[in-house]
Amino acid sequence: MEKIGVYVLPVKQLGEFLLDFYQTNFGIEESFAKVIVSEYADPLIAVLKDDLTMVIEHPYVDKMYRNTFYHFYSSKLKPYKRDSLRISFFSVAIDEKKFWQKEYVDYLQEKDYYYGFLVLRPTLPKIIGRNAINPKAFKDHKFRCCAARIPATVNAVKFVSEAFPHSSQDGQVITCAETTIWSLLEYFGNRYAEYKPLLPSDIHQILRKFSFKRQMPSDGLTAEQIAYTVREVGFGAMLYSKAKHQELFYGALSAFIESGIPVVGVIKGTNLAHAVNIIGAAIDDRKAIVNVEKPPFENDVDDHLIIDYNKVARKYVFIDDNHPPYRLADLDKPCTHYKHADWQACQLTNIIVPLYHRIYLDPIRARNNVLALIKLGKPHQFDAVPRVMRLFLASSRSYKQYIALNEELSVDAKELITLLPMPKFIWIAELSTFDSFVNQHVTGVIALDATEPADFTDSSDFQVPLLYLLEKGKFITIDSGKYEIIGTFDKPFRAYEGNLVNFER
Amino acid sequence: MTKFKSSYDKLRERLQQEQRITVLTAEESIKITSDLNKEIKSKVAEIRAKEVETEQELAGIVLNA
Repeated sequence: MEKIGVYVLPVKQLGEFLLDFYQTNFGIEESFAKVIVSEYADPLIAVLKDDLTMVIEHPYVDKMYRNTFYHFYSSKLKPYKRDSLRISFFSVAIDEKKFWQKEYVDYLQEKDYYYGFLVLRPTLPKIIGRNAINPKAFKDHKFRCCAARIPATVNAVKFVSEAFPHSSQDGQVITCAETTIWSLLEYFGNRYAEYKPLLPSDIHQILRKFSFKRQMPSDGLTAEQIAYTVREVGFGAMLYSKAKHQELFYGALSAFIESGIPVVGVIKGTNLAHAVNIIGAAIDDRKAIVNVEKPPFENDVDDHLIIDYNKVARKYVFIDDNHPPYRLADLDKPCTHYKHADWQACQLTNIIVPLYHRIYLDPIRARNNVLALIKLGKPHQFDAVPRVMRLFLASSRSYKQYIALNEELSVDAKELITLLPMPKFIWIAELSTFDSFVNQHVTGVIALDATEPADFTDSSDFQVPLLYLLEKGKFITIDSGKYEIIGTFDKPFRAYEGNLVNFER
Repeated sequence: MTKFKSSYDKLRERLQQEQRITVLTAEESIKITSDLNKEIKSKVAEIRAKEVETEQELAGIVLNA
């Protein structure tokens, strides 16, 4: 039996290593090996930092590839290998002699020098398999995105790194639709105990009752099938359309991203339709947002001057199985990193959102409710000073911890907020005057109950989704149907940042 | 009712002593809630219609590129 080969090399030598590996292990000509490396490995190598160190291990048993091997590749005439190759990345040079010393391993982990892994499948030429690479391994990591702590072993030692899972499609068992679902569930499964990761055969199993033709080789999935799978694994799937929701479409998408909820993007062009995950956004230049000649104030709050942060154009972080992970692109041009003109012309037309099943208030309704509250609160509670509104979902547990440990909030405000009963998720609208916004501070907060759809109540009912409102040093809440106004005298305080991981730091 | 005071009871007592709490009357509160619900509901039909149309729009799009 072949023993496990371990190689420690600088990332600059990856291309050279793979050329040798494919010729030696697969018995293929050098010219074919060069095509594989240049078309499928080089695009990833080009975007990785040059000073990374790799620990390469072969043979490696990869759960995702083995799943497709046993369900498909092993039944083909052409022999496919069972084993993969795994590359682990470190941001520092690795001392091989110390690698099995506990102190050295603890040092690498505590300093976050481990940057995750990449599996190369034996499905030539589409070799890029399951990977979870920390964004800091890439040259461009000036963004905030969803990330889970994903464990892996390197040369028999366990490490953990923060990453969003990615894989390329193999074109036979998994197309863009399957990799998008896999990536999404791999993220949720690693991050939250409520969900579990799915393998490709699990996805096909879920869709058996919703598929009327053979499932393999895969011809892709319909957008409905993606939504169906998301719902079957426990989410409350929500659908949004650029054509139908128009100017609210990007706002809804941004609200989900700000909430730390990755979404499936449906991209359409001439004769092609593609699925991607959108998982984060570029770091904003906050001064540039407010220092414009004509700020983009909302029209539907009468004379109040509100900029909806979620409608401000910015680059978003895409997980696209045809490209290396974490590609940044505008929502209007989601395929700028493609070479072909047909691809570059593609448009983002829809999003499918895996929402926690007990969130009944969606961002369009939540925004509608917040603007109604601001409109109604004038002129006593909200003056005519221009503000930026940032709307997002937060788990009440994380949000209460942020409130409890916020050094700039008064003890009274902390008690009033943390002692308020809340559902598992709440909508938060942070309001900031321009100066406060630039300094990542908020001057007011409106918190809504995400389990109260609000529009299902009759106007004569006493229910409103408001949990509390904190603005101008006053805390407003509803107790037994009556509004209470409590003076807290709070000044601007630090904004909430708990939903996305900032990889710029 | 327990004879022990919770931290919220103590906070409330202090805020009342310091005259920092204003409670609107039931009539005032009903008026605010009613106005708020009217404002919220004015856009609800449009939001619901878009959700139904989106579901129809997505039918049959095969994602495989």
